[in-house]
Amino acid sequence: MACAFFTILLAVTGLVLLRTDTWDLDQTRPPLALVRFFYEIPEPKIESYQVEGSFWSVCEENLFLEEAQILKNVSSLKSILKMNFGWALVSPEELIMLDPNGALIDRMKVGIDLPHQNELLGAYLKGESLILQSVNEFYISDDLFTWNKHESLGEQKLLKATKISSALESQILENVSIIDISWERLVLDVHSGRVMGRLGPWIMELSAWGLIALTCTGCMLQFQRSRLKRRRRRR
Amino acid sequence: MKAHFIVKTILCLLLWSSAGFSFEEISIDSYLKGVFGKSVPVPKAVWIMGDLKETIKQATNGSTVKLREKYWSDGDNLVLVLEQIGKTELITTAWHLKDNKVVNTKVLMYRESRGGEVANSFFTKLFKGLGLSNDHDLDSHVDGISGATLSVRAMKKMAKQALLLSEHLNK
Repeated sequence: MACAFFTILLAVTGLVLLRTDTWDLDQTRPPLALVRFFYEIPEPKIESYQVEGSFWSVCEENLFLEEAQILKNVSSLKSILKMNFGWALVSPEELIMLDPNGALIDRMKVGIDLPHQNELLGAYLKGESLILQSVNEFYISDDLFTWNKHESLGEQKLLKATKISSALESQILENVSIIDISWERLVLDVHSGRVMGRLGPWIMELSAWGLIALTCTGCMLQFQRSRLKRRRRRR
Repeated sequence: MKAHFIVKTILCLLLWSSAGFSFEEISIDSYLKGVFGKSVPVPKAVWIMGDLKETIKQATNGSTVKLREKYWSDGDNLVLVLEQIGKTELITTAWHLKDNKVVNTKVLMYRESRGGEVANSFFTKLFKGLGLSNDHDLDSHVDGISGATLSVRAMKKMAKQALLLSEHLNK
């Protein structure tokens, strides 16, 4: 019975995967409860900061402005500054520019778009200019595009974490957990056995071999039967 | 017959070992020097607004589009540095374009644990000479790589974005 179950599971998930494009499985998301069940996802941590009346949060490398997911791949925040164009956010790897509604203007990476060679520690405002700090490096810019060296300004004021309301926390957790796992990925992980732990892939592989064996032995039996039939007809 | 089999096995092993994923990060400065030589132009910004933004968003299947992209141009050659998420991490690539065609592309940073075959030259050279068709799709087919579907998809999105920006800048 178990063998039959896994063989059918293999075949059905395979058929579903063939319809990924037709059913948009890579664009749609399964319910949160299902994802948490299959992937044993623990409760994620949220780091939140209140700046100028707005709540910014980072959860599982997703950046949120209030409950709206703004960006992915943001590790943590060192500074958040309100600017004339919108917002400037500093993470160890990059400077992020957003418009007042959170739309992405630019993401400037250390070593590529920024002259800094080390992780960023924070940012200061000096009039209309922004000073960006990494270890032993300070650079200043008016347009956040061209950067010039600046003298040291001493210790950076650290961002203070804020407690957010449980309603906002629930909304963030709901959005972050379902963002990266599509139906396609879930079905693929069931098909390959990865959701069943270490033995899962072995079980599905055995099922696949079983399917091949069934097909081959079925063909052999069919061939033997037709040979017998032909011999009987000749007699 | 036996010798045949041994030779084929050795060839397969050699191909398999050479096709393995080994990625070396290259700096943007090195890439720019490779394109422009000693006289690397001052970088400029292109603002992506209105129709251009919508076109890029559609061509890249709704990916997040930055409002500002940095580029280097000497009038003939154009270099853009673009990023897209592969499976879960960002892939950073540099694109060299001329006359609205891809001359060369290079993966500057690959952060995923799998699918890094897209950084190999056997894949990136598939983009050489690519342009855009009338419906803003790539005008030639780019082969996929088994096990790197999402990274390949990300590379194609970046190719389209690079070509759209090239067309916009050359208007």
